[in-house]
Amino acid sequence: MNIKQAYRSLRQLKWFSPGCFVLCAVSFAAIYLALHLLGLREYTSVLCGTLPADRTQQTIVGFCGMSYLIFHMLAVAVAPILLIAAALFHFILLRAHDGDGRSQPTNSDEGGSAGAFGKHAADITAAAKACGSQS
Amino acid sequence: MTATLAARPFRRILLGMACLVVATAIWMPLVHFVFKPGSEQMRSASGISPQARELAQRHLDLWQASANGQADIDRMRVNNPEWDFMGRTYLVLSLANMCLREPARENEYLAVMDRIIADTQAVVDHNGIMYFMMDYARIGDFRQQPVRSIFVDGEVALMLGARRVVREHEGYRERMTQLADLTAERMLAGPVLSCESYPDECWTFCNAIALAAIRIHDVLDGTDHSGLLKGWIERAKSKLVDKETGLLCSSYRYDGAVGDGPEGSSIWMVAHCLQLIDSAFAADQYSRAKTHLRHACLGFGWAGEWPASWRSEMDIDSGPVIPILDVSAGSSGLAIVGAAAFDDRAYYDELITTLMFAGFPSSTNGRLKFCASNQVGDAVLLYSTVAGPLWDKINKRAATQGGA
Repeated sequence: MNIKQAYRSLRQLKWFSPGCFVLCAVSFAAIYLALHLLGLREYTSVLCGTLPADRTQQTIVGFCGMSYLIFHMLAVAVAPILLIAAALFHFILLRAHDGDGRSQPTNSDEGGSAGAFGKHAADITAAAKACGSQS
Repeated sequence: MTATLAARPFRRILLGMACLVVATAIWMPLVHFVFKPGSEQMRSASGISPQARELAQRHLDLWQASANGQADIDRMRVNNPEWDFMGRTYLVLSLANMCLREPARENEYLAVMDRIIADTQAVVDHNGIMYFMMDYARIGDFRQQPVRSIFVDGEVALMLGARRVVREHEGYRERMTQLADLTAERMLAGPVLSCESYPDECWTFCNAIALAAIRIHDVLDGTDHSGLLKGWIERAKSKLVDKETGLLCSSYRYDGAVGDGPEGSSIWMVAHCLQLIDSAFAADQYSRAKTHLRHACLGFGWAGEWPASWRSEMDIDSGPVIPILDVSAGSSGLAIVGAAAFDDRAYYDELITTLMFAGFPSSTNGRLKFCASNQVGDAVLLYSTVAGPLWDKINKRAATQGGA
């Protein structure tokens, strides 16, 4: 799978599908982790009004601190909600499949939503692998 | 049903949104459990909690290793030199409480307290009181002459008193007597028994701290300033209380005309200091502050800077105030001191949960700091984790002396 295929897989994810919820949650967590590893936690001192004297530095520190704060909130408060919602969504869709008498949901169902949890998780993994091999 | 969903994206979106609503209802009430510390993790009933010890270690480093950590203070001084001074006061108060909680390390803590006091006194002697004050102190004239600031005098006296409660020090006894008697004399000369912190600006915070220092002086040295203490409370009740909330205003002119109304960054500490003067009035102020400034949601607690009936602009004391939620870092930090001082465990836990969530604790090599805070903020937080024994000892000693 190359970048194009990975991109296509990602594009096939529908908004308001379990896979999309998972993708968002993972993205928030990944960005938060990256900001944390970059040391942006230190810049959150803007919250108590401690800023450098230089205006340019103030802007940079403010931007870094607020970015960290926003992704902290997204990773801690929103990402778990998305994961729980994805699990619920997936469960409901599976039950719907059972109700339709089909044993194996296909990707064409619901444009990728039915059985999407596993399918899209696999797509995301494949896309990530493709990105890695491409680089 | 799946086919129906496929054919009707609108229904799928509705289902997705319903899942999000249910997930939110599941997760949000649980989030605070992730951040809520154990009952003795932050504040111990008798000893020193693990978190308090780590917080303290960072500050001990600051004063034990020369120049180590000075960058933190310099960074803070750019915004407000007062924070440098107040950081020292809160650290000395914290260490005094730590001495009483952990007598085995008393000598170590006393050495740091002495170093802070000596350094502060040297800075004031060498650079003058303006070193610790904001620039506008140079604009305008103090009404009371000669020029002194009760902000500096009161907190230096309180530091000396806290040190002496732990163990007597003859040099500090003399210095404290000078400062406390002079401050009391100047307060008595004022129209509302108060002194200025800044030109024609009396701050309740500074005057309450000075009153606490005078009270400690009375207990330690057998002097009697009860007339001033009672008089100040009476004047405050009649002239300095906001009619809407019953809370003490935060600043007033030398003649007693109210300036700023009640402020969270002031009232929590004022109530704490008044515990040494008039415990009933102090408890009333704390209770009112909670009524008008406390916010809580889903296990998290915080404090606003102003009550609903009195809105003002953000300033250096309030720090940035997050709108809608009405979160003030300054007020919330000092609310932790208030909750600890008044043994309000429920509110204390809510505030600490929020602190662990949004204060961004960072622990390295047994040293804890809160990234969203600064040195003075961390010193205030340290004080909230150990406060209690110092005030208790003063009140007990006053009771045995048959004091007020």
